Amino acid sequence: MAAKKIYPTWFVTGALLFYVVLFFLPGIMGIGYSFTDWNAYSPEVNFVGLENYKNIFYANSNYGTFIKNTFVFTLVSSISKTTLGIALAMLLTSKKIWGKNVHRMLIFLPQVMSFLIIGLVFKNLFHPSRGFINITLNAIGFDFLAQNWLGDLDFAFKSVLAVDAWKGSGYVMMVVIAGLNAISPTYYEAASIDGASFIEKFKYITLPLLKPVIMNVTVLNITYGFRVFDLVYSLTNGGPGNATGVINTAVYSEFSKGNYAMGTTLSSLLFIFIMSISYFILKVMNRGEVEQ
Amino acid sequence: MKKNKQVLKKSKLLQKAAICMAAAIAIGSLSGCGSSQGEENVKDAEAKRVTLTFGSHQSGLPSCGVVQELAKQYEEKTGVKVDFQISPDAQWRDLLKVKLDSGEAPDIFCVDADPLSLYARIRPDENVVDLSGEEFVGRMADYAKECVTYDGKVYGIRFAEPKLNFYNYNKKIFAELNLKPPTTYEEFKEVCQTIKDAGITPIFEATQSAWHQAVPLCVTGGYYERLEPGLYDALNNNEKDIKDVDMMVTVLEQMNEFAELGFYGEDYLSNTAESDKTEFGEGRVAMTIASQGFGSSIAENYPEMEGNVGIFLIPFGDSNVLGINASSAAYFINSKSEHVEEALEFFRFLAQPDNLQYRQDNNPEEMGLCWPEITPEYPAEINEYINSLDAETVLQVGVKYIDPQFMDIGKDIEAMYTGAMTPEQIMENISQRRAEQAKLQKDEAWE
Amino acid sequence: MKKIKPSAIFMNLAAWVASLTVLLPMLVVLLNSFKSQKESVIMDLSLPKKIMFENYAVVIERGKLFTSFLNSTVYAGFSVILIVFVVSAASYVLSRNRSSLHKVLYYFIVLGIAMPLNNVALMKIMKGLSLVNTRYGLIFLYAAINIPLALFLMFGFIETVPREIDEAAVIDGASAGQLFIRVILPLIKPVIVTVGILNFMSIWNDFSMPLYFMNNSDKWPMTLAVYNFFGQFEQSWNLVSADIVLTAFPVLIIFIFGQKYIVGGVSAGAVKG
Repeated sequence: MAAKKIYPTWFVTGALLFYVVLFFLPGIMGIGYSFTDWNAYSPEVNFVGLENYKNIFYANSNYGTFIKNTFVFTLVSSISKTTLGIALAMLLTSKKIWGKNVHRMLIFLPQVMSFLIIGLVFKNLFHPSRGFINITLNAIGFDFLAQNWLGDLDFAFKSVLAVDAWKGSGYVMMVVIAGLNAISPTYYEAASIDGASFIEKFKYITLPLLKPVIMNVTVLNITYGFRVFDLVYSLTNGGPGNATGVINTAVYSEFSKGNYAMGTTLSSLLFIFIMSISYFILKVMNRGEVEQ
Repeated sequence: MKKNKQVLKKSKLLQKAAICMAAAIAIGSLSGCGSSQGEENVKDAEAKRVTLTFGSHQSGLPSCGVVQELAKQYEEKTGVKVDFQISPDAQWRDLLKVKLDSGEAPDIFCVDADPLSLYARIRPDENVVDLSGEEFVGRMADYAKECVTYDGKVYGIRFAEPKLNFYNYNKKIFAELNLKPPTTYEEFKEVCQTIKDAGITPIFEATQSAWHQAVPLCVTGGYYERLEPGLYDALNNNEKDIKDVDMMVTVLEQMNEFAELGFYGEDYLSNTAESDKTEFGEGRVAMTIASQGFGSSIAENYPEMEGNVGIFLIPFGDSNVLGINASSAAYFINSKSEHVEEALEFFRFLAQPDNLQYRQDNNPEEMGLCWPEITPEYPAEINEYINSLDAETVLQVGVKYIDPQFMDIGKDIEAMYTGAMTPEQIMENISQRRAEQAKLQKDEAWE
Repeated sequence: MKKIKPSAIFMNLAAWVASLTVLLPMLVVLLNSFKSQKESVIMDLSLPKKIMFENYAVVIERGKLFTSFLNSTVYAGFSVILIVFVVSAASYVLSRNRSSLHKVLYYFIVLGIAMPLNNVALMKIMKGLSLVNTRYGLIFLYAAINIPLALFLMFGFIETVPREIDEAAVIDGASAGQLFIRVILPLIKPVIVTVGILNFMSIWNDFSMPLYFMNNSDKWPMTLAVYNFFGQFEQSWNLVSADIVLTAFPVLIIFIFGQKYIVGGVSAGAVKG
C-alpha cells in the first residue's frame, strides 16, 4: 500500500502554513538583524557581519555572567524539578498514601498560574520584614533561617530557583505518574521474588522504563530554562546588581536601550544553544531506543 | 475494480472538500467575530461617535484617574469616547516604537519627553502632529514647551511641573531627637546615626525598583555643574570623560558608607519604591527622597502627617544646589491618526482653565502644574524654601546618554551596596554605556 | 483493624508537607483578598477582621473583568481548536510516513521550539496580512507560536498507536480522511486533551502578544486587565489579591474538570517520546 495515499502530505499544510508565515519567517528575519547595526535611533540598517557576536565575547561587559547564569539556571532547575517530580510521583503512587488525588491536584496547581502573578506574590512573601516566610520562621522560633531572600547575593538566585521548582515540579510529577502507571507490576513482582531491594528495583526497573518520559521532560525543561524570563524579571529583575540576570533579561534591556541588533544577537545565540543541546539530547535518546 | 477505485477517489475528493470547507467555516466564523466588531466601529464613526485611542504607560497618567474622569466629561459633552490603553512601564517605550514604525500607534500617546531624548523616542517630525499654532501652547510654561519642542515646533502638551527632589523628613521624629535638617554630609551622617540609635530607620531606600537608588547621584548633577562650570557641555561634547568627575565618585562613596552604616535599614534591598508612603506614613522611617508634594500627598491616608513633613536639600557631597528635572510625561497626537481633529479638540478641552484647575484639585499627587495661570497648592513655607535655593538642571536631563541608562546605574548602585562593585567601577560602567549609546546614535563627538 | 505502619505515617506526612508548601502561598493570597487595605500590607495567615466582599465588587467594576474574561476565552478557546486541528493532522502524517521529506518537515517545525520571536519582524508580517488589531489575527498568531511544541508532543503519542489499525481500516475501504477522523482521532484523544489544556493555560496566561497586536482595550484579555490593575493599585494588596483570585479561577476550574485527563491522558503524550 502506498504510504502516500493513506498518509497524504497535504495534511501537513495547515500547521506548516501558520508556522512558516507567523513564526518561522519573523524568527529568521529577526536572526538576520543580528548581522546588522539596527537600532532605535536611525532609520538605516547596515550590514556589520559578525561584529555583534564578537562584542558579546570580547567586549568588557556582563554578557559572560548572563550566559553563565542561564546555563546554571537551566541545569539546576531541570535537575531539581526532575528529581523532585520523580520523588513526588513515587510517593503519590504508593498504596500507603490516603487521598492521592487531592495531593496530586494540589501539587500540580501552580502550573496553571501565570508567572506574572507568581512573581508578584512571591516578591511579597519573600520580603524580609513584611513577608510571610520570614514572619513564619520567626514565629516558630527559627529566626536563624530567616534571610533576605531576594536581596542577598547568596540567596537571590537560590530563591528564584526555589520558586521555579515550586511551580514546575508538579508537571514532571504528573507525567512521571502516568509513566509509572504504564509499567507492568509483573516486573516488580518478579524482582521481589529475586529479593531485590527498593533501591535496586528503582535503579534497574523504574528508571530505565521511565527513560523516554524523563528525556521528554528534560527537553521541555531545558528549552524552558534557557528561555526563562518572566520569573526572573518579576522576582528580581536580574538583581541584586546583575547577580540573577539571564540572557533573556539582557535581551530585554538591550531592546529598551534601543540597541535592537544586540538584543537579537543575544536571542539568536540562545537559539543556537537550545538547538544544539536539544539535538544532542534527542540523539542520545534515539540511540538508547535502538539499543533496546 | 476500476469502478471501485473511482468511487474511492470520489469519496476522497469529497473528504478533501469537506475538510477544506470545515476549515473555511472555522476561519470564516472567526473572522466574522472579528470583522463584525470592526464594522461596528465604522458605523460608530459614521454616526459621529468617534473613539480616540489613548496609549500610555502606567506612570504616564496620574494614578488617581483624573485624566480618565476628564475624558468622561469630554465624552458627555461631545460624544467622543476616549479609550485608555495602559501598558506596563517597562514595556512602553519599546512597544510604542514598534507601533510607531508600523503605523499602528494609538491616536494619542503619552511618553516621557525631554529635549535630549524627544527625537530618538518618537521622531516627532514624522510621527506627530505639530501643535505650534494652538492657543493653549502659549499658556504653557517655557520649560515645559522646551521639553516637547523639536526643530522650533511644539509637538506635545503636558501638565506636570518640574520634578524636584528633596529629603522629606518627619518633623516629629526630628523634634523628639532634637535634630535639625542637615546641610553638609557630616551633619547628615550624625543626624542619621542619632535616628538609628533611637531604633528608627533613618532613610527609606528601595533598590527593587532599580531607579530609586540612582536618584541622589543624578539629581545632584546641578551641583557638579556649579563646581565645574561648563561641565555639562564638556561631557556632551565628549571633551571630558564622565568617570573623571571626582564629585560623583565622592557622592557614590558616601552613599555606600550610608549603606554600610545601616542607615537604609534592613529591608532596602527588597523594598519597592511605592512602599515609601506606608513606611514613612507609619513612622518606620524618618526620611525619604521625594518631591516637595510628598507631605500633602500622604496626609490623606495618614492625617497625623499633615504639617509634619519638612524638606531639605540632598546633602551628599555637601551639595547646596537644587536639581531641577523639567522632563515629564507629555501627550502627543499621532499624525497618521484618522481622528486628528477630535484629538486636537480633546487637547483644547484638557487645556481649558477650569479643567486645569479641576485636574490640580482632584489629583493628590500633583500640587502644581506647568501652567502659570494655576496657583500651586504648596504651603507658603515650602514655596519660600524652594525660592531661596540655587537651582540647576539635573544630570539625566543636562547630560546626554544618562537617562537611557538610569536603571542600569541603579542596578550598579545596588551591586555596590551588596559589595559586588566599587564606586570607581560604577563610574567606569557609566562612561562605557555612554560611549555605546553615542556609537549607536552615531554621535560625531565620539567618533 | 489493620495496623498502620510507621512508614505509612511518615509517607503521608511527607505528602502533606509537599501539598502544604504549594497550598500556603495560595491560601495567603485568598485570605488577603478579603482584608481591608491596612491589614493587607502584611500578607500572612491571619483571618481578616471583617470579611470584605466589596473588594471583589471593586475589582470586577474597575478591572473590566467581564469583557476581558470573554476575550480571553475566545482567544484561548479558538486557538486551541485551531492548534489541535492542524497539528493532529500534521503529526499523524509525519509520524506515519517517514520519507525524507517528512523527516525534514518534522524537524523544520519542531525547530520552532527553540526559535526566538522577533516582535518587530512579526509586526511587519502581521501588518502586511492585515492581521493587526483583529481577533482572528491574534488567534492565528497564538496557533503559530504553539504549533512546534504541540507537534512534538502529538508526534510522540501517535507513534504508540499501532500501524496495523491503519491497514485494517484501509482494507475496509476507508479513505485517508476517514481513517484519520474516524479511527486515529478517537485513539489519540488523551494527547489531544493534554495538548489542548496545556496550550489553553499558556495562552490564557500570556500578556505580551495582545499588547503589541491589539490597539483596542475592549479586545484585551484578562491578563492585561490585571496588569493595568497592578499599576493603579500597587499599594492595595487586598484588591490585587482579589484580582489574582478572579483571574486564576477560570483556569483552576478547567484544571479541576480536566484533571482526569491531565493525570491520565495528557501525560500519556509524554510517556512514549
